[in-house]
Amino acid sequence: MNKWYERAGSNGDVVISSRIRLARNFADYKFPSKLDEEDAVSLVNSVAGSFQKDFPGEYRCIFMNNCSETKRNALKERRAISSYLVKSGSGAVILSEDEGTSVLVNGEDHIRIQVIANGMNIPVCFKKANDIDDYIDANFDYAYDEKYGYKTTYPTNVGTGLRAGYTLHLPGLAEAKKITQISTELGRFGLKIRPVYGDDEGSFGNLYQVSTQKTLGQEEREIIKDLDDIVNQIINQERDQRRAIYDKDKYRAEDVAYKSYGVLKYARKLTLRDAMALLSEFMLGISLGILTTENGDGVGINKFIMDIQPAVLNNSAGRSLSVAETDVLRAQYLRNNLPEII
Amino acid sequence: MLCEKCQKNVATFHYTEVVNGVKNEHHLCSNCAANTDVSYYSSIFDNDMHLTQLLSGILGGQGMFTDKDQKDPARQVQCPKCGMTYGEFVNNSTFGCPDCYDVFGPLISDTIKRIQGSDHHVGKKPMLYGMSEPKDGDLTGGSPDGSVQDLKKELDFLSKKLKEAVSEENFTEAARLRDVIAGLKGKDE
Repeated sequence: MNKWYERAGSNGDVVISSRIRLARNFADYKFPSKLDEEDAVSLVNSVAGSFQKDFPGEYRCIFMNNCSETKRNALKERRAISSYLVKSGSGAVILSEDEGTSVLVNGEDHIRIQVIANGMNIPVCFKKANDIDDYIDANFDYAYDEKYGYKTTYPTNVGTGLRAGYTLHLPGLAEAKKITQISTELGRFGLKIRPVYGDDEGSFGNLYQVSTQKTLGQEEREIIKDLDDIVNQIINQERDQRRAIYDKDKYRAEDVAYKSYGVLKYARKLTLRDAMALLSEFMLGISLGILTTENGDGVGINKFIMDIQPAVLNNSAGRSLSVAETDVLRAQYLRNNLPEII
Repeated sequence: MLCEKCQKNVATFHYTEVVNGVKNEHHLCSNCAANTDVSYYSSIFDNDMHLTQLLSGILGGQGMFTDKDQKDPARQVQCPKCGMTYGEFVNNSTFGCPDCYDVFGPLISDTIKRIQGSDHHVGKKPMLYGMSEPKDGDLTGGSPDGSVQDLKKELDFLSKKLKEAVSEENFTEAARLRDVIAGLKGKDE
């Protein structure tokens, strides 16, 4: 079966992926930070056992204490688990075959239901997360308060426990230096924009996550509708900026697109930073119609982003690689997998 | 400088990670670097830590506690179930168990309202609390009878819980569930 990031999604020229997360806890256990080992094991086993009994074949359970550090980091880079779970000794993840649905057990909260999909696809993610929530609700007692709603470890999640977000590719708005301005505007609507990959020299790959922050005082569907309204505006602005880049200097735009393809297709060693920047230029070239691949528009950028991460590469090599070896393997992977242009 | 991870070899690999403007420097030996996630992945999908640091800042910045106030009675308020003290709660900005909400809830209600813009939950509730919201149909546009199916699912579930409560002789819970069921049936008609 294909992974979630190997399928095509709507508005894929700008929206890379959609994500829904619900945080839940059980009434009769202390929260993970105060939970003793014995209770943690009993909690994890009862949730994992329940899924194995009721959904055989649909989900697999991965126990963190049974899993190498590289494998845990690879799961994190593919966004199936959180950083907290990477470090956890007693947590587990219940993972669908396509890795789009994961139930994180005994991470920051007892339960975190996460559904990710390619492109702009929040309603589908939300429905899936809601169904799993109902299933767990019917089998376990959730910690709930009439005033505060679903009780969570962090006061910033209490209420709906919902976080909805999109990962957007914004090379046009980034080049026009509009991200800071957008960030200020989004704050007023209770949304936040952050670079997905970055270091002290700034973000790279032009990938940004726009997500909801507030979890109290608004119903789930309103929260999601507000997010969608705003993200649709960002998509339009991004498309305008991309067109402006091309209209301003089409020879430069064409040169950047072809050079990025050339380097990705022939380089022998690529750092993550360089690879991400080149993929961003390559994607921009495709959306502007400068480059056409044998697969049309559906390049499956998410798969490239996932597959070139360090732990994913180390995991696929089946051994521990040096940084230089990882860069070589990354270049080799891109050479072999990037579609031909026509 | 020794590698921060193994504390054995000399650190030859240095990098700086910046998350929301906070710099973290890392120093690793080549062995550990090869095994470590140095993808500069900014961990934004696990952003709760940063939000809660903000909360700690607000709670701590209210002038309620300084080091001198270690003996402040409010700081000694403790959750009887998990042992979390209010001082610990302010420092970590995390609740230790469901009961902490009853213990610390009244103390931080204003702060939660300031951060969230509200201190009252609206939206989905667990089935035990009587209303399953939101309906799938509202978001996906399909399933016109979605709410009818949900109501039936919920009534079945509540009836099961009512029988359990009666058999355990938990009559307070049974009475509560009976009222919830009656309310839902009223809505159905």
